[in-house]
Amino acid sequence: MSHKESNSDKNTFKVSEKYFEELEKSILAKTQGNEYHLPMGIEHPFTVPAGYFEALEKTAQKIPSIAFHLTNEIALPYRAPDGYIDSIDEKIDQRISKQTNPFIILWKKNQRMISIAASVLLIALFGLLYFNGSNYSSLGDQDISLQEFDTETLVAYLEDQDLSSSEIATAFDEQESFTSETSSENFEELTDEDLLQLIDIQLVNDIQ
Amino acid sequence: MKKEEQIAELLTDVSKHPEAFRMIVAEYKERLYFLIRKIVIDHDDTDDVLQEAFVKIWKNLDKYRGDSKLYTWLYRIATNEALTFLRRRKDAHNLSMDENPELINLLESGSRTEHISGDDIAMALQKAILQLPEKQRIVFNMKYFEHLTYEEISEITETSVGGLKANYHAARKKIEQILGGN
Repeated sequence: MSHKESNSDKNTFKVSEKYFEELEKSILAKTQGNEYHLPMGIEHPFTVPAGYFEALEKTAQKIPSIAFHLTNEIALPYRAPDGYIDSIDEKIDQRISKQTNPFIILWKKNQRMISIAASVLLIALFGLLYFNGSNYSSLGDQDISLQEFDTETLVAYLEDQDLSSSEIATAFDEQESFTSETSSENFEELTDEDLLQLIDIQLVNDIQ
Repeated sequence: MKKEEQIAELLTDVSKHPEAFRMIVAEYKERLYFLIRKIVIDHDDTDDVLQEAFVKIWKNLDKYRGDSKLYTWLYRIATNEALTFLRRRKDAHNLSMDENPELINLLESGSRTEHISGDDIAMALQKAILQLPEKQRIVFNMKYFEHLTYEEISEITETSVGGLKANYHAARKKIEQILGGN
């Protein structure tokens, strides 16, 4: 007994005699040589929130890429205010004028000449002190001169000059450096020893 | 004869120093302004530092010996003046020279004024530079923006060329990391 016959025996439903042969032929005809091709233009169903791509673009500009390579074209963002650069010369000129001491300019310009002149002047002053001691008053700053020598040297110098008491008194009067107690005394009445003692006191006062 | 050579020649004669100084101001004011601006960021601070730098240049004209290029001598004075200015302010706020929160604030507040352009990438680069340690920041600015050679930067900063190269490459790498988001 064939398979077909057995099935038709069990089912109460019946098909035409050639139905299954026709069905097989029909299915094969529909599928053979007719592969599926996806048609163009099918739209995806996804959507994004409004403004999403604009925001993404801005973010991408800030952080150009994960592997960033620094080019040599990025400019400085700094700007000077309008007219500022042109105003610098005048500003600096004013600052320099305020700060510049005319004596410094004179010193800068004539440094060598001033050094030589000062040296000559110093030598001349010391020369006057040693070789023209009787003319004390010609020295500009007696206090400084006296402080530079010790008492013994000065006493020896004064003794060598053979000065009278009045000459010594005159010299000290001109210095205006005596104490008030001694200024009113009559130097003519003092002995040489008293005078030397007074000189000692004056030197101590000067040093202090 | 180039301007720099003319100035150098005038500087050999003390009586011509005022003329030489006027030429220095005219020739270098803009370059020194932006050199200082990159260090102190704010325009008003830059103006103060620039004036101080020029006063210092004036006072030291007789010390320029001509054995280095004039502009490297000027850049050195201006850079030192800017760093001294920052150091004083950082000391007052107990900040290290390698941290710049106050400069980042100045940059951000300045971006709302006409003194800083609104270019996003330029601003991002400046913020990244302000995160570098002091030495790397100075070297990077001079190399990247001023296009100076390592030898010239070495004269200005009195640092070895090898040290400068190491600092520049470290700076560049760090900036790329910051801008790359890593």
